[in-house]
Amino acid sequence: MVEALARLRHFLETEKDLEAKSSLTKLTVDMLRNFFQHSELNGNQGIRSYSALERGIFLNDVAIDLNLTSKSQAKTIVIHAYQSMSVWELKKTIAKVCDFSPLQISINRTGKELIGQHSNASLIGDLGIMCMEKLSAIKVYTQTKNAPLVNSRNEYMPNVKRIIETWFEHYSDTEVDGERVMGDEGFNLFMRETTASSILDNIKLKQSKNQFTEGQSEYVTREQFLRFYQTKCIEKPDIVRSNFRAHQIGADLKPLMTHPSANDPKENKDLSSLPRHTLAFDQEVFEGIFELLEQHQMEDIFVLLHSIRVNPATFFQILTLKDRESLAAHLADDKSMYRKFYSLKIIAHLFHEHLSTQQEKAVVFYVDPKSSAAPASVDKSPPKLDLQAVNDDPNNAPTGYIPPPPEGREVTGTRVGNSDQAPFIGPLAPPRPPPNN
Amino acid sequence: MSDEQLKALKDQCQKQEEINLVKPILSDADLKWAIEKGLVEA
Repeated sequence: MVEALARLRHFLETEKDLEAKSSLTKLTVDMLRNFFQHSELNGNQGIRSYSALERGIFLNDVAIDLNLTSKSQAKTIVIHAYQSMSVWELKKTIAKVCDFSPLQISINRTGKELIGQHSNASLIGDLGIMCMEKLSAIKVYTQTKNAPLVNSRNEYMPNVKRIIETWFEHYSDTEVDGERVMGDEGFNLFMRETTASSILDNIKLKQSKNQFTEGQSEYVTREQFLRFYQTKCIEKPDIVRSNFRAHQIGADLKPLMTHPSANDPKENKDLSSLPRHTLAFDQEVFEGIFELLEQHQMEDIFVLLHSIRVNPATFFQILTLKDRESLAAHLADDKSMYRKFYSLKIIAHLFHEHLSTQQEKAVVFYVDPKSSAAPASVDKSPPKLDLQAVNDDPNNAPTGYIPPPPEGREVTGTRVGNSDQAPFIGPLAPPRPPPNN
Repeated sequence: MSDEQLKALKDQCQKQEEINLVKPILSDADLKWAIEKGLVEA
């Protein structure tokens, strides 16, 4: 970053062609701004750019539907804020309300581009969000590499087999001839939790069960269950993976974030790793940027200054000025027009902050959670996997296990995650439930 | 969200909570840092 600026300086000092100077300056600034975006994919500690000193229009009644997790009772959050609010601050507010990882939140706008991780550094005004606009917060899945489900001989990978066996152990609810089997109740519960469908009727459930038993029995045995999934792992691996996802297991057979709480350990908490912070807070570098600007008058360098944080020395010097005379003296001391402009914007911001009557706030609307119960004879506790058994396996396969489902998981209702992506294997994919609203 | 939509939302929901979003562009921690670095006089 500093190296890029040093090279730019060298180029500007040696190059004679104005167009080439301008072109390289723009390229360097664009490159640095891309770098800023990339460095803030995992959050930015709520830092705001110098451009956020201009608060913009006060946006009233921006409503965001919260579709992140079934356990959250928060339904909608209505934002009242200036355009200078950052996307990351917005995500953090939503995350806190829903107790959900801010890194897994994207904002969906009808007919517009999804506001994802690459926009964390942007201001909501930059994205053109308007008063009274309706948005929705959605969960994003991190793309992971698919782990193999079967080996070259079409046999289960050990960890996959263990997951399937654990499902059987969890959902088998009765015994026949001393062996655990999956009866109607357990099978129906398994189907619902694996497909997230609440409207599987008895005929469809029976037909689905026949896919497992091949019509040989009224219940599903361990052997039938394993055989069925082994065939599907070979023939329809993507749909098996979507079944895994329904149980919070990723394509890499590792748990999707089990508790994607607001305090995500992957969130970046280190200010020194954020170039928008370090450039503005390193006085020497900051002075260097101004020198470049003053010597070469390249407009794009001013764009760079607007992208990074407010320089604390300049800001606090102005903030701590005692009276009007000292303010005038401070401005008079600045010989550079650019420095004067930089200071004036800070002064304007402080005046506006002092005079503003609009209070930035969010109003959260809560609903009661839906209540539902599992069949009494089926254990509702999460499936347990013998991790030791998986880890001891000599086969060098990735470790997989079934994480506990979220608290308050509904037996017949919606599931955490995107139900659209979890069809059930077999020919009897159940119809999707109608949307809630 | 229009007034009618807001009213409908209020009718549907059992509870409301207000969160203050006011946040300074630079914080007290930043001021402390600047003083420690000698960029600003205490």
